[in-house]
Amino acid sequence: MKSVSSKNKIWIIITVILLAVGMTLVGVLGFNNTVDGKGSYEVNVSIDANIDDASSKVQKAAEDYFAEVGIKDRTYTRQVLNDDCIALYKFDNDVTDKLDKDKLYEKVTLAIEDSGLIVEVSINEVVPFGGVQSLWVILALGIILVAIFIYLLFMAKLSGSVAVLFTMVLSALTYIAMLGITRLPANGFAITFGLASALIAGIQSTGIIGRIKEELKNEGNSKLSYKEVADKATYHSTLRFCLFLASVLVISVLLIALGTGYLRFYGISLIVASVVSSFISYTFTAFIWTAIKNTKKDKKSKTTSTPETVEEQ
Amino acid sequence: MKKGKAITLLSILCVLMAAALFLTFARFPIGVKNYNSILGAIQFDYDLKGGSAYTMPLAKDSEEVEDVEEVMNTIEARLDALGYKSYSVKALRTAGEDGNYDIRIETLATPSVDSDIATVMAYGTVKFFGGTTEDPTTEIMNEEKSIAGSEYISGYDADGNEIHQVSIEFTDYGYNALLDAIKEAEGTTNENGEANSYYLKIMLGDTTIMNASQITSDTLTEKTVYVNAQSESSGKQMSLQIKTGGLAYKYDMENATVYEISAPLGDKALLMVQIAVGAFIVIAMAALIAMYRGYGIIASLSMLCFTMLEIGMLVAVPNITVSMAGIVGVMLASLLAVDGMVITIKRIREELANKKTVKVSVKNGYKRAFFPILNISVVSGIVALVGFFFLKGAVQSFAITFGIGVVISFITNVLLSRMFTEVILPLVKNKEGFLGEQKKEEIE
Repeated sequence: MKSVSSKNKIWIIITVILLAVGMTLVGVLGFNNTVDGKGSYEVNVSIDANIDDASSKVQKAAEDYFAEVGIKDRTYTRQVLNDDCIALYKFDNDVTDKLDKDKLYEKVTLAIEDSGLIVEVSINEVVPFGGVQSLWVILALGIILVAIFIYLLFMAKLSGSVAVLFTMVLSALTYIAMLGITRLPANGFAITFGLASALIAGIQSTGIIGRIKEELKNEGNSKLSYKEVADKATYHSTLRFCLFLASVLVISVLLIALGTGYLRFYGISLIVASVVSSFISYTFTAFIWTAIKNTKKDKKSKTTSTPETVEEQ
Repeated sequence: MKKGKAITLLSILCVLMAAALFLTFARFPIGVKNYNSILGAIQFDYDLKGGSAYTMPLAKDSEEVEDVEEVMNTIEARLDALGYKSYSVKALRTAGEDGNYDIRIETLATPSVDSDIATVMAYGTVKFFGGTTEDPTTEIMNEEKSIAGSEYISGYDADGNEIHQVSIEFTDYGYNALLDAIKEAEGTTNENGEANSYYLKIMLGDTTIMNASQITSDTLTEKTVYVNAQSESSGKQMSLQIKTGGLAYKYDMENATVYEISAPLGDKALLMVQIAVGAFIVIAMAALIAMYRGYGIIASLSMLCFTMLEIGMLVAVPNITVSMAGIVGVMLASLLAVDGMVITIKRIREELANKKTVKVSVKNGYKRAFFPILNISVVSGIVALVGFFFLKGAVQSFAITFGIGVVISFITNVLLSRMFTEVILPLVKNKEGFLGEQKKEEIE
């Protein structure tokens, strides 16, 4: 049976590198706050009525103009208002130096010149609202961690509860680091994915700890060390992890393939959150549990001279 | 369970499930109306469905806005207080000009959205005026530090007429400041040598909400004063304005433009998300059958029940609007349900590998799987509960749908899948093969 713990050093190095690089990028560049989270610009192209598919022609003309002046389509999102009579383009940076309002007006008017419709073009500077309530998020996370710790203290003893807590915190931090590395949108919705990442890590770790408990009760494992029991439990959980990741991949690929705009980013965010949390919980749960158990065992053997055995929980 | 009984029960279950599936997903006309299925009755939020966009210019008689972010923070607090979870608040002005910012609010188009936006944009800060004259003009207390909260209260007077009131609860600072002002006034005398009375007047913006009323240190025993409102809607609006802090600038609601707006996640976001979730459920069921054979069928039936129960609960529980974050909650809960079934079948197969009978293996398998599933459900439930009570917006939406899903997935894993196992197994000849007996020490 292959041992997960034999590669512990590699997992730790990978995680430390990810955290270091990601947090540095977050510190230097900040998060990618997207169009809805930071000061930005929007272009408003409107017609007074949508006759003969005029709105589609207008939108195509506007988007062709954006491409012509070098504005890539991934840097803006489009919303339509008033039965498609108004197209609102939201940009995530200052495009006023690239955009010529008069030229845009010309292009759009030309696209529907026979319709007799009136076109209006305006460029607005936008101040978005502050959004994230950081203090409440930190408070909520603190309460979650304490509550889970207390519950698992009864169900899985100190070693189990610390292992689960550690993986949850590490998973959330690694997800934040990955936001810095991947530059995925970090709007208010990102908190949901961060929480989901910590939650998934907690769920997966709890499953492994539960399995460790069962393995300890198994008489066939009485001569195994803590490390070997933990490895065995982790290995038996491999299929669960693979199935979980495969399921998430299916949803995410569908969102990326079928969705537009932010929906695609959310699909990628879901993959990142799930991979990060699964990686952390799979590689660190057994490691932390074993480390705590061995530390307690060392303390016990210093006071008594009992031989090495696996105690039943 | 005997074969005959199992066949009867399974038939009943199949009929019930078929009916539930039909009601959940089918759409058809009934007379002049349409039945849009239970799925169609789910209320989706602004980010998936679009809604209304309100753009309000600053009123001509308003002061110049010094801090537009403060305005938006107040608007956001009011939208949260009114229960809106998915919305966008922005200040915008023509690029390159230094004029005032207009405010644009994009949110779900509910039946009450017009009045809610009017409430959200209601102008006025609370000001307290106190003094020894019958029309005090001296402003006392700082609104931000003085008010702890405000609630709308309705009731009936002695004659049976409905009354509408708004309570204003002071903080310790506000209460003490008011009490000190009253006592100071009571310590002075008027030109006739009589002890002065203290009058308190409360204004909200330009409107007097409590006329100058005499108040003494003896009568001010509570930290709460009550003001009358004309109606329930004005009372609720007043209470919200007081609770969330004043909007210091007046916006021109009469010249506000209101448009329908598409979903910020894309025009077809809702359809795409529904397809993605539906496809996931189908693929998960196929994968379960492929990997776990007979038990995969049981797991798939359980997943089907889970899906229908989840959709049903999203409709049955009042005031739920499902945003993209809510969809993520549903997805995670589905994964929890699948995870629970994987845990169970693994335990059952291990029991079979230890040469136990099928009946004993199933019983022990479910018994062994109970606590791992319970632990996972409790951990998930804690996250959902804390997220619901302490967080707002998208995360709260996630917490609601995920919390409902956790409860349903627990019931699915512990009860429904067990029920299907008990009903289907008696009908199978090769029960060990059906459950996919695992060889001892087989590495999966």
